[in-house]
Amino acid sequence: MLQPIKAVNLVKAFTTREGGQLLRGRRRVVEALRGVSFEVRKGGVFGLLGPNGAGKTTTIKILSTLLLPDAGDAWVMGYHVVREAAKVREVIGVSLYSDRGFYWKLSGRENLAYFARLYHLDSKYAKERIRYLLKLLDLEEDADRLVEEYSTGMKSKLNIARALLHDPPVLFLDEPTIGLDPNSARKVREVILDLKREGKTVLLTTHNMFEADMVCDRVAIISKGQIVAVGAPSELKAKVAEHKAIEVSLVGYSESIEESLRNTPGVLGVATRLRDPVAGVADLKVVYDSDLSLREALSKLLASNAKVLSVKSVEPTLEEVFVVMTGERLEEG
Amino acid sequence: MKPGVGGSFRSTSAAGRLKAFAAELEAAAQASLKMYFRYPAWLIADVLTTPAWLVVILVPILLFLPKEQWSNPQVLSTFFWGFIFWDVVSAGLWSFGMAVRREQQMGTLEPLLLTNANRAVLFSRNFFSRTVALALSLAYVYAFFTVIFGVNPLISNPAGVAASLLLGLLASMGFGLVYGALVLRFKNVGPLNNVLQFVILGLCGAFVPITSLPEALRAVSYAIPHTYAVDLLRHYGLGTPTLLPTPQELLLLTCYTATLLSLGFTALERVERALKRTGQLGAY
Amino acid sequence: MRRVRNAFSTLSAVVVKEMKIMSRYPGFLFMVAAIPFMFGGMIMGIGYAVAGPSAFANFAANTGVGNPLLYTTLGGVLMIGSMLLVENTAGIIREEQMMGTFELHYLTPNSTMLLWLFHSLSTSLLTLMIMAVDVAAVLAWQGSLLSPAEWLVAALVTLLGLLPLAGIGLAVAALTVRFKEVWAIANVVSSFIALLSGFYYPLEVFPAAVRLISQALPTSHAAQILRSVMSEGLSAARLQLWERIALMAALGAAYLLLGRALYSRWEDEARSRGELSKY
Repeated sequence: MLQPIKAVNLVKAFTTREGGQLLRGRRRVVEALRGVSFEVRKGGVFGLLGPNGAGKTTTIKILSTLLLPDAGDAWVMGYHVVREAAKVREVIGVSLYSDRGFYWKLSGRENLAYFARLYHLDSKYAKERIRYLLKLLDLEEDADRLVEEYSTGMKSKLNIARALLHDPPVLFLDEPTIGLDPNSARKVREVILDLKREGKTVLLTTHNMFEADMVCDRVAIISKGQIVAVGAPSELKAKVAEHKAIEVSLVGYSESIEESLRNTPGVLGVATRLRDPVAGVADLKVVYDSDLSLREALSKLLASNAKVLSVKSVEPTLEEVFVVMTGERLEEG
Repeated sequence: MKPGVGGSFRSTSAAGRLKAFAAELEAAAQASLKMYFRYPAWLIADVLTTPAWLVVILVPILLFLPKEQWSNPQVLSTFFWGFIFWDVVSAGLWSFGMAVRREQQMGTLEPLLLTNANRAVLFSRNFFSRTVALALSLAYVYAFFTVIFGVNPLISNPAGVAASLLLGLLASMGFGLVYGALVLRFKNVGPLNNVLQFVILGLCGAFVPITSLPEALRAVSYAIPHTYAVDLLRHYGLGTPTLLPTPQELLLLTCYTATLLSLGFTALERVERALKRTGQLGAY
Repeated sequence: MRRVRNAFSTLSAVVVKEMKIMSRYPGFLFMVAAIPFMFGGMIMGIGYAVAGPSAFANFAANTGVGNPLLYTTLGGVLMIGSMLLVENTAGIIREEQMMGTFELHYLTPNSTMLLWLFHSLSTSLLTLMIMAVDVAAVLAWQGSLLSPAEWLVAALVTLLGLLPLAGIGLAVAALTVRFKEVWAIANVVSSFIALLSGFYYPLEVFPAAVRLISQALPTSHAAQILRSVMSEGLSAARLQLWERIALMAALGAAYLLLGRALYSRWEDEARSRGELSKY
């Protein structure tokens, strides 16, 4: 069966320049994607979960024809993203930035009307469609204000409205809830679930594991340009179910502490969030497989120079999956 | 609202494509004019600064003439049309040339390229607002010339003037689109705009006939479309003779314009592809 | 002593930052240095084309100056300098707001007025450098260079002529809270400064009433003094030089105080409305 989205071995590298005082410095190549492959089933919500810089936006841009891959292939609704780009654009809706991408001196409604015409929607239909989408995303009251007066959250929702204008069967949503307050974020997630019920195929990127867990049927964990795990959230969590995790808050963190924990037999992953680099206040997430390893890890901590403030047990989440697979925390990067 | 009902009226028939093109054109015109009139500060600033810059530019030039010539209608009318044409040259560089880069900076370039709208329509949107701007400019520069210098600039053939300005604006747009493709590729060319503006004004003979330029420069003058546009503008405004027979010059300018426009859109297409390869499409 | 040290530290931070940024836009620097020549060249070219061989004689008769190249180059440097000062200072709030760096300045233990003034000083220093390069090039080509004393006076007069425009720039910037297109207003201000300062022509072309208004602009005094110093030397300008410099200093203080007053008012309003970062 033809899958709505299929990516095979996508590779993409960017060249940048760094350093330099007056002039721009030496060339550096950044490998954004290093052979990414996945398929998205029809009528589902597929999440690409990873920290900033993992390659999520790069993947979406390739699939939406805004970026040409260096190698590999991808198809959307059976159309090749490079050779049949125009056909791909007809069947996708894309929401990219949270706060850019609109004409400041046009109102929200006028911005949508402009793009509706560019998508060749009939005027009457476009008007109704815009009214419907503004209501759906709680933008009705502000529809006729200029976009330059919109908050980040409003622009974010307007972005999603634009992606839905021409009612495409496939949607790409890049961090759709970033910058939104909890109510608006909840609203957007509800909209995504509604779209799924309508039979649309949604690929969304996020670094919010709660969102991925709640909204996605399947999740691909991406780190440093590679997919490290794919499956339903429950399947992925089951992989680490037998593993346990604790979160330790301490003062006086040093890399040697983290290193010694990693080297403890039975410790599967350690990820650190440094809250205060000067005072060395940090939260460490330690994933382990047995009580023996836990005892040994705790002994090492107590024997170190760091002062342990608290230790608590945590339920396995997608973050634990991420930590085990990559050794990093989801919020890092 | 049922999905997919009443959606796109796109079809593979010519009638469908024509309708789509008309819709895009209408959307572009509407957006362009709305945005133009919603920057009232710029509209007002334009009217206020015009007399100041008129004096700053023209008075120093008049210093090279004896005082008795300072109110010579022929001399002043030449400057008047030169000033108007400066607007046309400026539009090519700033309005059309920088248009694509501005879309990139605003973040609207990627959403635009996500549609299948005709790229020619997308990137020539400013033509509509520029036409209105030029008409307004003509009106108040005429008024200021009359008030400040006490002379009514000569307009011997208004229809010819309108045709020359329109063709000049289109040629400027073609030039601007080729330039715009370079801007998109190299990003920081703002300073080049200022330099080019003066170079083009000098070479095209906006203020003085190109016959007074050195031979080597004249060859370059003959190669740029602005030369013919300003020549025709002066002919229909002041009744001066043209470089070539008028019908030929009109035809040459039309062909030149069509070529530049095609080149411009081709260049933009190429740059779009190149930027999609490097991932710089959305970079600002 | 500590305050002086802190102020110096802030000054050096701002100047170094601005110079680094400017140096990373070599095209911009080239343009700023080249525009006086391009504009001047255009004026002289058209003037010569229209008037023929008697062009320079007419110019001398109308201006009392036999050297149109130096006249227009100097005028161009001052015009570009004044435009940069007004537009950069006027636009600073908006630009920094759009970048997200504006509010961060308020987190530092510095007077924000002083911070923006230092930014303007950087722009003035840039103008001085350009003047040195452009004018020296013309003078050298014509076989004469200024004495160190003349250069010092020229630098002082340029600074006194241009820095006060920062006060006007700050006054315009304070309008940002109402008018988002602050550059449009800055454009109007720049054009009238160019008109009334006589960068490219003697102010005698204007009626008496207009000449009176010009006297209120430090740039018009700067243009006249510099033309005198560069074409006739320091001794010829010496007669009224110090009186004029005193007048420019007084005007400068007035403009800067006005700018400060309007800017402070905006600042208080923006702080109470939470609009420091709003763009």
